Amino acid sequence: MQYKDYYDILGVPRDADGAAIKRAYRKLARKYHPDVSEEADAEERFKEVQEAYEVLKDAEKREAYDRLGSNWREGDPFTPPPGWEQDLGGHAGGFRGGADFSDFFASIFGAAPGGGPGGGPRGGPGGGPGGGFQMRGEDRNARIRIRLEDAYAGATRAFSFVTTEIGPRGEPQQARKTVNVSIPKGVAEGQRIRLAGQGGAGFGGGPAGDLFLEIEFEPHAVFHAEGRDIHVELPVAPWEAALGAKVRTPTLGGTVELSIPPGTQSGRRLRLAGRGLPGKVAGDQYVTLRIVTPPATSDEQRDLYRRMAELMPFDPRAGLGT
Amino acid sequence: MIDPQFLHDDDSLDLDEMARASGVRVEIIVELVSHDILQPRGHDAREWRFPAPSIERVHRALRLRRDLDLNWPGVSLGLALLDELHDLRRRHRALLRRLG
Repeated sequence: MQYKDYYDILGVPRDADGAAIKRAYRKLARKYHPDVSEEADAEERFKEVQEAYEVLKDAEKREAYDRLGSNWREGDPFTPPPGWEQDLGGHAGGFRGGADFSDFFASIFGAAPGGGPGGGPRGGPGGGPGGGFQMRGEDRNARIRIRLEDAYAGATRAFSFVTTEIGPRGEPQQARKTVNVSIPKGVAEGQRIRLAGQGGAGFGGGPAGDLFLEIEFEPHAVFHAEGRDIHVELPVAPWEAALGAKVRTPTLGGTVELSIPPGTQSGRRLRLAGRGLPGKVAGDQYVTLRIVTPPATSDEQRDLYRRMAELMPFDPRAGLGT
Repeated sequence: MIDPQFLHDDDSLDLDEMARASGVRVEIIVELVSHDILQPRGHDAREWRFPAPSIERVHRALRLRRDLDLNWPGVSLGLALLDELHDLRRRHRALLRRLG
């Protein structure tokens, strides 16, 4: 087991007063709270911060911790001094169900009643010694990336995540789990899937929390989605835009024919109703036309452009006052 | 295989169901509504219908209140800003992906 430098974790000197400790905790809690932070290690950091605050805010616990001396450094191998537990008497219980507090914490202050070392869930009502209590495990959040095609047609995808389980000796341990998640047809980006019971382990026989997966789409070479609507940019030739044409355009459901009205300008947006992601109300596909000029590589082709310039008195910048 | 429960905005719960599903007392749900943290459809408590994602919102609200020592108006403001931040981050990521 390793020593934890609670002062270092909160970034306060050893003689900091209660107000300074509270300020430091609040600042770090805002920064690392798993509901607020997007940092990958936010949850771990927040637990450390909570544990440090749990000890330093409480005069009795802080004094006990200080008695270990100030020569320890964060991460030093640590064993409690002989006779430590008896010395502490009864106040080992009564902490307010910390966030999976460390072995180090448990070795000094005792484990929560009814739980293995460090098995206290966040938000426990703080049962006293012997007063067993149950707590639901924490909810967890993760993002799952899927292909747009899978959102359109539905699919089953394997999803792996790291979770905390209670081991055979009651200690929390990290485990990698893989679940198959069926992605229903028409799921939109940002939508969440709830995997009941796949979150953090419960405590004292309480139920496990839930795992929430947020859908994110992989970048697609052709399409991008906004809500249930699908957007695509479609290159067209100048004569198709000028004269009107029927052109083939890709949709998630396959190629369809699209009528381009005569006199179309670049940037015009056409709507294919109901061709977006399916749903109670299916999304639409929006096709933005982009006129592409064919390269003129031969004399004959260059002449053709020159003839157009002669035949069509046209100033594309007329509106700019140049 | 896990059967994922998709949270659709149109799966709705009444006040009692909402309290049961979230594992809190009815009074807590009423309190959250009064602070605009939950926004059920319907005018009075008997008519309230909560979208299923509200369950997770209750848990987040309780965590924020407890861990950051906030009062309910603080939780309400925090959640509103987090929603906005979350939405902006998502759009930002989507834009970055499109830019390659």
